[in-house]
Amino acid sequence: MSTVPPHEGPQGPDEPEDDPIAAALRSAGGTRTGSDTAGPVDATTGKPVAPAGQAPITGRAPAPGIEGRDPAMKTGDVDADSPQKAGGDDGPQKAGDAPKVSSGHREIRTARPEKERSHGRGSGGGRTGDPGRSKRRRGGKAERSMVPDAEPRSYYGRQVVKTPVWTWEVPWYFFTGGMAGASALLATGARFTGNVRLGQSASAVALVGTAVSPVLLIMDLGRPARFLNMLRVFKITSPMSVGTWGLSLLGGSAGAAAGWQLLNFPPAIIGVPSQAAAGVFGPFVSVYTAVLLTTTATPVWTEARRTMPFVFAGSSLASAGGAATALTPVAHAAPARAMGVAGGLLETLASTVMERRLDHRIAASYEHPTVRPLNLAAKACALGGAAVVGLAGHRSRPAAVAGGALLMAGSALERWAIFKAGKVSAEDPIQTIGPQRDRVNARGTDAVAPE
Amino acid sequence: MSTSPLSITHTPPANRGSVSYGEEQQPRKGFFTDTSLCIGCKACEIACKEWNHVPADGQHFSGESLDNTNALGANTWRHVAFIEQKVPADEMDLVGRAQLSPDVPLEDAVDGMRWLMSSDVCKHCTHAACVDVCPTGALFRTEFDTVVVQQDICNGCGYCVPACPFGVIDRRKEDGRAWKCTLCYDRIGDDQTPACAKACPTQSIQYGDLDELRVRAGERVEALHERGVDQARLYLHDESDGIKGAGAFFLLLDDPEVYGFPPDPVDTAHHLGESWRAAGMAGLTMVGVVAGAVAWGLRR
Ligand code: SF4
Repeated sequence: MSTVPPHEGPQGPDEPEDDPIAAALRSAGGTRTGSDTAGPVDATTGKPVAPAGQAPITGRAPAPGIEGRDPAMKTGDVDADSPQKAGGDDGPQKAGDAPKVSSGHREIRTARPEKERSHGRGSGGGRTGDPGRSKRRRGGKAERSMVPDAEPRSYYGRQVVKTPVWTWEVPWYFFTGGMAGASALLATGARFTGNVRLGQSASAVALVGTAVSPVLLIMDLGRPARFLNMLRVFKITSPMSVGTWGLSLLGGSAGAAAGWQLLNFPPAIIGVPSQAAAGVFGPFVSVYTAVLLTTTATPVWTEARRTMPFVFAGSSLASAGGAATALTPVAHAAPARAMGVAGGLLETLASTVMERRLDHRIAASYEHPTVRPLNLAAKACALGGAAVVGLAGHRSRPAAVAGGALLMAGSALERWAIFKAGKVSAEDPIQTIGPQRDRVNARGTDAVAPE
Repeated sequence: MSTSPLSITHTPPANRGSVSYGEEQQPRKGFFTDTSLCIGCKACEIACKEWNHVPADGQHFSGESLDNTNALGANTWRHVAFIEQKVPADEMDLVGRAQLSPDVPLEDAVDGMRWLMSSDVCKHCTHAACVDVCPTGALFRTEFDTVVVQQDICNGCGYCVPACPFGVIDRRKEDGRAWKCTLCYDRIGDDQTPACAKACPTQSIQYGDLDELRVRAGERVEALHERGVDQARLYLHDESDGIKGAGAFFLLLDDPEVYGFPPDPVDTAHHLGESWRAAGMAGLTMVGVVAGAVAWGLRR
């Protein structure tokens, strides 16, 4: 390497001055040229990069328009080998443009399995005897170093999985269904322990929730008139099928139970078993919606499959507790307040754990500008509501109403944050490809290798 | 379909997606898409549209490559991907279709370009997420072990759309139902080749009995390796992968993600037990919280 004259300057001799993409890469990688003799090291990851023999990715500019599109390609989260973000302290959304350019247009060499790549290095080194070529190659190397070795690639930064087509009805259904389910549970517990007043308000909430929920679900269908097709089969593999049956059973039992509690019709002989059944189907309806989301290919949903049910449980408890707190005189509402406070805390805790446990590339969905405000507001409302209900709910009815409303708002916002995060997640190819590529690499055996 | 006397071993029924057809069960049919033969002519896209009466999906200009179809969807059941890659000079001969970029001066002609082209389609997975999650039974498995939407049943719930690990199926806006490749269910039932495979001028898309296609694909990879194209590899042919193999599998010249494929797809039902267990715990937590709250209320 020492026989090679130093690089002639920030620009390689054969790079056109007017190439904006090359210029951007050069300016970012310019400091690299001085340290060539120390061996090629990736400026961003500190890892060795392929030496001479690597083609510069900037030798030919990609087609115009490449750089502009592709908002989803992120550089901060592209290095599969290193959890450190390539862009240093930059958030995953903020890293530079360089790897964007490379997404579809990487040189072939990095495309190959590791063993071939090292072979490439060897043969490349052998060419340093030709000064002209080496110089050119060295120019390429400096720019090459901008791209972390193990960057997951994608097809022009396009999403791999489809964006969920569900619209606003679905997160609202998660809210109403969850609240109805937890309210049915509370109505059962309160009435069977003699708190008639609380049982009545909780069963009223359950009745309204189970009445609104199917309307929302039907509105979201592409063919609403065919909604009954949902009930032509029962499929254990489809959380939507299982859930639809569960919701139907909850609707029937909670409806009968509410009639018994509020109007004394149907009589207790029907009302009591109905209320007991509603207490069983209620929690099911509250949490199955989490399984509905985690049984998809949307990374931020499916990778949260162990934690999201607890978020939905907490969120349902918070909304039902909040609603019953607001609707019940203070003297009778003690269990509702306890439930709301516990639910608000569980919701916040579980959602925090859920986000933390996600792969950092996937967790970035919750940092997206369309999601983050919802997510923060959800936690603020849940904790604020829990505080108001817990501290003042037993003294003043207005405080109970305000705190209950806050808990309900927090619950709805949490569903919306999770729902929107799914859309963001599906649209980011790195969230799909990155962890899958890691999995393949970790297995060692390429799942798609021949033989 | 058979071209050479191959040793065919039919997949035992236990490994198949569907075992409920009894006498009617046919050998599993599929596509082998050999991307090393694809010339990017898009005849498959056109043939599919025409035969299946798939509506137009607008005229888009991607500005990226010759691919202006962009992605599979409700109105795109075949999608030809174009990938341009730089090829270092010493690799040029290894890549069948590598070509010099015309604007490279001759003495500078060290690096070239290669084009990867690949016709994507529904994979007709052995463990198909769309079939598993469909709440109406509209998505079903045919006697050929292909996956088809019954349009008279589908109510447009949209669950299959995010469930598919390949982003294949989508809801048609003006229609409200989910649509995707049927592997020309109407044609293959009549012993006809699906439209795309019929139209493909290079036999990049090959249709036939899956067992036979798998043998053929293995031989093709070996032949390519012998010729030095050592990047050739099969994708989704392996019954031990996350979807237990696909009815439509591919020979690729680069990593799957380069073509827009997920590198390690897993069907949704794979994690169903884990999800329901967590949900069960969460449901019990709710019962516990409410029981505690009620008890606390009694004590006061
Ligand atoms: S590729 Fe997608 S749409 Fe096709 S069978 Fe598999 S899951 Fe269903």
